[in-house]
Amino acid sequence: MIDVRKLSFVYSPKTPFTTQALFDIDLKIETGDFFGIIGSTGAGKSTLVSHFNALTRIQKNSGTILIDDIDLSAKKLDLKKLRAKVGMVFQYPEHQLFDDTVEKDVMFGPKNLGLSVDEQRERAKQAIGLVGLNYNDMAERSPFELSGGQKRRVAIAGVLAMRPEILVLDEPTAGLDPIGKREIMELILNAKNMCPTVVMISHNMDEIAAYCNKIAVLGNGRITGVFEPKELFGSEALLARCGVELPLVTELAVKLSRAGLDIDRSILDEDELVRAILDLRSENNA
Amino acid sequence: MRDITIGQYYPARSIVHRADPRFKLVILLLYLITVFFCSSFFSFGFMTFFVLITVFLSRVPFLKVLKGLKMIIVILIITSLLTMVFYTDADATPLGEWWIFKIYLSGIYASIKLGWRLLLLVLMPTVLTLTSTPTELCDGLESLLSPLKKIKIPVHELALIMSIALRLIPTLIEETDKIMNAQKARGAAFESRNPFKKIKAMLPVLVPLFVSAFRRADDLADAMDSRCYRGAKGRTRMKVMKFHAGDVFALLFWCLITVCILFLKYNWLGWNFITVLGL
Amino acid sequence: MPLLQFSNVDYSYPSGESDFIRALYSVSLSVERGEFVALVGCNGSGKSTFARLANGLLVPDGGNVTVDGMSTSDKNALFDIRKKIGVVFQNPDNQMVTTIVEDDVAFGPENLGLPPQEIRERVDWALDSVGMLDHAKSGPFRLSGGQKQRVAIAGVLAIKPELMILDEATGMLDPDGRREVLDVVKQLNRKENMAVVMITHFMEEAALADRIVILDKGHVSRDGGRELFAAPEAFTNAGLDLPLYVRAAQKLKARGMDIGCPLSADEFTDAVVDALKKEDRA
Repeated sequence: MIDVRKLSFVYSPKTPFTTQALFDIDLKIETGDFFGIIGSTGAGKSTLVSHFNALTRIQKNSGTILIDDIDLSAKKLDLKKLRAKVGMVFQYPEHQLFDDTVEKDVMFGPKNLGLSVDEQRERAKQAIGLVGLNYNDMAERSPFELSGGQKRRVAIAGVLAMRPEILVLDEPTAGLDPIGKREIMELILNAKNMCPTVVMISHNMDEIAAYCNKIAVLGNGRITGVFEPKELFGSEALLARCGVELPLVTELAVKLSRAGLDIDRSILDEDELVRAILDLRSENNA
Repeated sequence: MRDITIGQYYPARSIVHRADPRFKLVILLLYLITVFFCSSFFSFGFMTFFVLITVFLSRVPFLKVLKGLKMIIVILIITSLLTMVFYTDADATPLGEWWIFKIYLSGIYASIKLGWRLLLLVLMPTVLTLTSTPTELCDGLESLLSPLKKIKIPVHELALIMSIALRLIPTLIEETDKIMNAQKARGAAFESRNPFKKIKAMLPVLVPLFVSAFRRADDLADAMDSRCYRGAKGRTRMKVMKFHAGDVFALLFWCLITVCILFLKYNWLGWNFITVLGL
Repeated sequence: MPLLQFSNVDYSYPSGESDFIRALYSVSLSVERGEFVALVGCNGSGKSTFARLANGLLVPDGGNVTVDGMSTSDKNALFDIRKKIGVVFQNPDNQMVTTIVEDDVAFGPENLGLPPQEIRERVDWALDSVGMLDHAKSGPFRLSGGQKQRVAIAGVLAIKPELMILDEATGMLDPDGRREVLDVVKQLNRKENMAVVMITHFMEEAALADRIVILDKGHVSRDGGRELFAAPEAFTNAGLDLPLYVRAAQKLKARGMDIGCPLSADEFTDAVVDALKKEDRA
């Protein structure tokens, strides 16, 4: 689990150009969570998350982060161990692909962990399968001749090959078409069997509502609150305070409710909406 | 990495901003050469005084200008210290000794002058890029070099290359950061001592970077072609360079400064009397 | 004479060592002045080569692409063709040539050889039309994705083309950015009577258009008006995803409640309310 206590972060400290990005962040992410982090651009989401695998080190007297038994404010950190535990997929991860073949690229992570070549290959094979690609087709191909969607899957496989316990994703469906988005989210759900905890930054409220069990809202470097989806999207007051939009399905429910229909305003699922509308019909007939 | 001030334009209304870029470039060249002729502390101070006046006239906050020096501060300190420590003066007695190093007074002076010179060398170009848009600079350069077209040098294309480079370099630097982070997240370590290993370690960064750079170049070329680009043929400019009396005056003024510095250095007309203590 | 005409266009591009991928085959369609056309297709439908074929960046292997009668295969005509057709591409970062917004918007008119005063007027007008006049002296690093794309649109606008093609121009933007861009595009079509071809895979965007062309595996499978939405299968057959309200409407229809094919959240709401009222009265 990730335990963040009073985390602060300042850019360009001790210079006249200093700006504070994070203010006393308190956050608990439990093992098994599908944890969403939302907030407007510049709210500090990426800065917060980049602490989790020590790409950003905690500044002096700026709080602590405990990831299971690893204390991130310690002077000496076993980075390899940490980065094997916390896997991070950045935006447009396909931009990190570099090796001659798909297999070699996916083996890069395990290689850095010091595993034997056989183990590296074994992990690569598993990861490539996990992301929905056919190992026999893909292994020898150059990552650069793949389609955009395939490249992204290979990039994600590269992170999954490290077998992280915590998977952090920054806008995993950015730039994809609707079908592509759905495929990646299914991939992530699939991966959750291997990495029990998933942390996802997203602008896409539909995805956040559909997959997350907890949502942290970040505003101007502060945590506005941590909510469950129904709690957040069901309360207009909360939404206004957090500056967050409704997922489309909830927007429809709200509009129907405003039009005078008796519908639960916090519906988060498409089928639930359909059922609710049909129920109204049978009510009328009754 | 966000604070690369060279190449960052600071919009404001000032005499320096409005000056003709061609004159600014020529003055800069003159200035850079002149800085090497500074010898006495007085001459350094003399130059610095006029640079500071230029900064003042440019209406750019001094803090912004200092930001541009951030990058060279470390180099500056290191080279100054090294100079001081390794300077030998056969005619003088050392001020202090430590292990095998002897510190001479003239060594201290030399290191201060070196640091000062570096500072001056970076200061003016910083002011230039803060007060001129990359387009202005490239247009100015293109105009100054246009006589070279007669000997078939592709001046327009070169100026365009410079302009696009200025546009893309910060973007590529940002991208390098992102790629390095992505590879670090996969356990890559860039801190190896072995030079062979170090180069190999850079592959996961260099390959994606090159791929990305080529992709950007392709995209940009498509965008340019789509907007009717066809080279310099028939091309006009929105911002036409027109020089004014003020520009000529500035150029003459800086020529005067150059002359003064030369007088001070070579002691023409006995100007050296101005320098105090023969420093 | 149509503004843009594709006549039996074939286009393939090389893939890997010796393979070819056929992007388009036998594609024929025309775009008239003032039209708002949505070109939809999933990845692999060929829509990504459409924009580049339209303005001559690519030349068809078979068939012909003409703009106001000029063929894109004629190198000498490309300059005039590109005066009439402007393209806004997908990546907001890779279209800006310089580091100052107004200089970048001026790039097009400068290429046209216009006098400086006119360029200035066009730049100001274009930036104003996209709502970016306040950022005229900004650099790309302080702009959001949506703002950068609006600047790209301004850069194309300044050439005063008759047709603007948006090649998945909202693909890399966040929801706010997409809205900004779509608002600008709608306004340009209505106020300036600019023809627009919006290449997209979002049906919500296609719903803004008067005419929809569906590309399926390189071929035009449908070309019609908004009546196409009445039978959404045409979209799913082409591999496209339907927006939530259309899917929900289909599910309702399957259970006996027909609310037609709503193309926005509001249309959905109104349709459901109407349908329930009708049942009430029945």
